[in-house]
Amino acid sequence: MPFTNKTVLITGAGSGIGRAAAETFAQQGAQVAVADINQRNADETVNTIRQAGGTAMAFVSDVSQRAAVDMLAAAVRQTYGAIHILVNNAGIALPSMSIVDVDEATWLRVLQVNLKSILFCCQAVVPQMIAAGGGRIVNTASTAAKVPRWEIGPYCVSKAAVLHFTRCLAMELAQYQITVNAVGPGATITNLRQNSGVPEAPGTAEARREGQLKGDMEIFRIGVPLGRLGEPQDQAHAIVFLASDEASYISGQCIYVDGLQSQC
Amino acid sequence: MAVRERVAAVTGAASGIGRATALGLSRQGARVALCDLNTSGLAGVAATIQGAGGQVRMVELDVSNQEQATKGIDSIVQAWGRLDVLVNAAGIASAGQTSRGPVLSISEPDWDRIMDVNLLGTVYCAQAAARHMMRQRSGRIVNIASIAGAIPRLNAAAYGVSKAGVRMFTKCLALELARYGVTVNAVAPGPTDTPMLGRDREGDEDPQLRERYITGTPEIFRLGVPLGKLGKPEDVASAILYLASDEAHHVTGVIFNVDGMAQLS
Repeated sequence: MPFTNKTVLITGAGSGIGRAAAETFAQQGAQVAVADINQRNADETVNTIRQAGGTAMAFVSDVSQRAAVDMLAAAVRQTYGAIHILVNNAGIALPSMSIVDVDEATWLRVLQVNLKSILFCCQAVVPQMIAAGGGRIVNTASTAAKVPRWEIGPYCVSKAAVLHFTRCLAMELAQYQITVNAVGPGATITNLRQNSGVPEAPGTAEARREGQLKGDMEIFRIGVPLGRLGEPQDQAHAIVFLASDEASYISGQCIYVDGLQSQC
Repeated sequence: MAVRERVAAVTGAASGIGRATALGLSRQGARVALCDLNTSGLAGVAATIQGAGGQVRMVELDVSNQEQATKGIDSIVQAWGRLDVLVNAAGIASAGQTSRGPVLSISEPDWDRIMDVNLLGTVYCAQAAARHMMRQRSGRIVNIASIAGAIPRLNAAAYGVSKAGVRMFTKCLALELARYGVTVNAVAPGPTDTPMLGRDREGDEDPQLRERYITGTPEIFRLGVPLGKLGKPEDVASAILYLASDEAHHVTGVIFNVDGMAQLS
């Protein structure tokens, strides 16, 4: 199998896109380190993988804290050996509000979780990859890294920063045969808001998804030309491709997996 | 409204692009508030403006502190009754020992300092200005991004990422303020002959560095500057003055390169 004997560390792997990526890597032979801040969610991902005959272990970690990340990288190494593939997927959404009204604490928090967690994970894991002679890093960006949107400004800014970090790191690590890429999900059916502590009433979530699909002045005016919202599995396929041997000449790129949503 | 009646605020006005912009706005007749952490650094600029008969005030604020940024911007409106133009020119190229090194060795405090000044400093001043401009239903905000926020460079990730954030913040704010008739744009300088450019990683003056920016090196912009010269602060200020003018009323959410074509892609 393509990922036999490969160790993959995925952050935010307890749900949504991270979980789909974890399951897909495991189906293709990888040993998967399932990192999440939520123990129960991480365990669920691991159980699903094991029941299907795959190899996985749960690691509970708050990747927005450097000390926790250093411990995570060491623990994964102890369990599975050197990490070959790092998927920086953990992230949070925020309550919708005008970008004019966002307070300092909120700005700092979204940058801490969505951006600095990736800095910390890369700093902790890349030395292992350099020693191993290569590696793959895939970051979860967003269409919000490319297209500005109403009332989720800090999220857009954090993801634009992730996208540019991806390019800068790709440039620096090219000499080590380590590629660094991103996926840019469009509207994807996950529990991101709920997991970020900003749940929506059931009717609200459905109305939002309907707006995303059909096109909405305040979200994406063109909707989703391909006619459906994204599934976590759509993102997982792109992540796994970018982590594969076949993608060895691709670096510093972002694949927008968005049903054409960001072409506005 | 003619420029001569306008009230403008410029952060980072003591040197480089901020200074050139403040002088330019004043020449057009605007009253200019010079904002900086260290007001003593602004005295020379203030004296130049006053010597030419312009109106100026100095505002001491740390852009990276939301409360100070808000109070500082509010004080301009209290004194002069309105705010028509904000130019966010405060920025730093490096912080501490590690910010201009490889990503793997950047320390958290150095990373934070770059982000706090370049990105969040721009955010906090723009937020404070936006509240007044929304009420006025007019205004111009111009941020300083960089082509380094669009194309990756070696040993400049913290700076580049902060400027990538400024680019997206500019677009998000422009989108939200469009309905109030307030425009938000950014200029993206390429290599520009400012005090920030000529210093090496340790902060020492390096006379070779300017030439290397023009010819291009793997470590900086590989292409160099096709126009064959560095930009001057005044070149960037000219673009800022246009974006701040009445004539630019239908231009918003734009990142305007002033780079001698150093950015190809």
